[in-house]
Amino acid sequence: MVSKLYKNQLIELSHNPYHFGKPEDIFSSKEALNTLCGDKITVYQNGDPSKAIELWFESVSCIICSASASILTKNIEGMNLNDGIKFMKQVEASIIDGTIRNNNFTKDLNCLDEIKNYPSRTTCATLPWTTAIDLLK
Amino acid sequence: MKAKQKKAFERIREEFPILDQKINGEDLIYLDNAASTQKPKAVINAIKDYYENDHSNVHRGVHTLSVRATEAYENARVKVTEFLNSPNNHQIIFTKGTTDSINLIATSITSLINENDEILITAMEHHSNIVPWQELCKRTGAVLRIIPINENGEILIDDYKDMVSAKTKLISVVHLSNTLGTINPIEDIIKIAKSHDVITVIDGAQAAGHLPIDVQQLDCDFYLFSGHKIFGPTGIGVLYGKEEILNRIDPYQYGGEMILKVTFEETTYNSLPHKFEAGTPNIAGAVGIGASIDFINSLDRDLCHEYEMSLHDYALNQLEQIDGIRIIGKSSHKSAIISFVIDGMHPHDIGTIINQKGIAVRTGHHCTMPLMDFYEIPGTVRASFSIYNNHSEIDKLIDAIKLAIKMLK
Repeated sequence: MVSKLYKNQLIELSHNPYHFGKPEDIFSSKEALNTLCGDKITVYQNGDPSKAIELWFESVSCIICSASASILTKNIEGMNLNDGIKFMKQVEASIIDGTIRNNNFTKDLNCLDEIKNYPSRTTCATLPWTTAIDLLK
Repeated sequence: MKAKQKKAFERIREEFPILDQKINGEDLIYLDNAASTQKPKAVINAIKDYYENDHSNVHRGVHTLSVRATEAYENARVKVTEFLNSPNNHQIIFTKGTTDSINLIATSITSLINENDEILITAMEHHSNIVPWQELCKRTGAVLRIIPINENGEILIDDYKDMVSAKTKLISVVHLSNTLGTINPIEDIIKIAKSHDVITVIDGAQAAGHLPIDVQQLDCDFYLFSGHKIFGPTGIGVLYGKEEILNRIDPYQYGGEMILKVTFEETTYNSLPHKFEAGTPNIAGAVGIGASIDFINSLDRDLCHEYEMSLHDYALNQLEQIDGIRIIGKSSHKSAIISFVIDGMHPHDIGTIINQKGIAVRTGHHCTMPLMDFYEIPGTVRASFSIYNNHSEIDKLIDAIKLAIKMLK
């Protein structure tokens, strides 16, 4: 059922995303497009990432992409570079192969689990993570 | 529309076997016809019949199957000739589709384009009618200029008139916009271009299935369309060109079929249309497009247009009553395509939810990203209608959109 995909939590996250906007101390940024639909996301690193990751984002995107970006910025906050990149790659792979629930991720990531039943929307969910990995690697 | 006529369209619908299926437990409602139309039994059977009985390679073979395949292939060309009212068969080139046809022209015409020449396109073009010209400009130093449109999605003809000059070498314009549904005044556009000796290319991908086309009356230099948008197969398209210019431009690809004589020192190219058909062609595709033209010819096209527009008007009237909806493309001269956005909601989210109700619409930029930039939107939801759709399907579409809005608020 499509209501499993569009859970209240996902919609709420997209309406009030965490770390949405430009941060004060932009260390670096990366813009990416979803080639399927033209959606655009820009991910920013606030401050020196070698001290701690703090991501922000701006996007013109769907609910899934915005919510996924919100989950990313919340979960990654404060991680060091190595752990952060490893974590993001793990989440990205889990979204693609539909194994989000098989990992010990925080509960909020579970709302991306249903994406596995909508292959045409996978990129919507992975785009923030892919962009952030490109930004920080 | 009379009940008898509606009944006739119900019978037409029965010719399309794919429509008789459930998607997510609901009857399929296919409203993505601008992307690709479905295929009637006549087209499916013609392709099947060709492969079961007549397939071989075309031209030069002396055996029976090769003769039959050649006849089937060339008969399809004759059907296209009549469909477009081309003066003769050899001005009809089979390609992979409209994109391939545009690429053929943009590549083969290179030697006729010089630095600072100008190529004109409009602000509503499909990427396939933008990128090949950008590449031509890169190769030659020519300049690509964009004819503006207004908020309704109509070409600003006065601006176009001002843009045409001695520098203008070619204009390529869409006949019927895949995103907006606008039917452009190509007769006027061609006339203005001709008065300046500008080569005219008409992208008829959307138009050919909906409007009667007469290339001699239009007096365009090139007219292009795809099989899969006129109830035919994918992978086959048409390029009509004026003989004089087809003879003047270079071949597109090189190899078998397109040659008259080959030695290790030099090659003489074949005459039209073979000069532009290198390699074994898509024979089954040609058979399919021929069958799709037969199918279209069996219909009352004026009545089909009237029916499709009745679906369009019925849908538009209901859509406009939904709060927060914005219709993209409000030309007074339109085809049965409706693009729209809803405040605060992304087209992909709407598309995913209404797919749950078995409804297929297209969401996104529709390969017209510059047009999306013009309207300052990431994409639209697009419902495009065909002769096998009906009014009750539109009621279901409206209900599904209302459901999506409720879910996404």
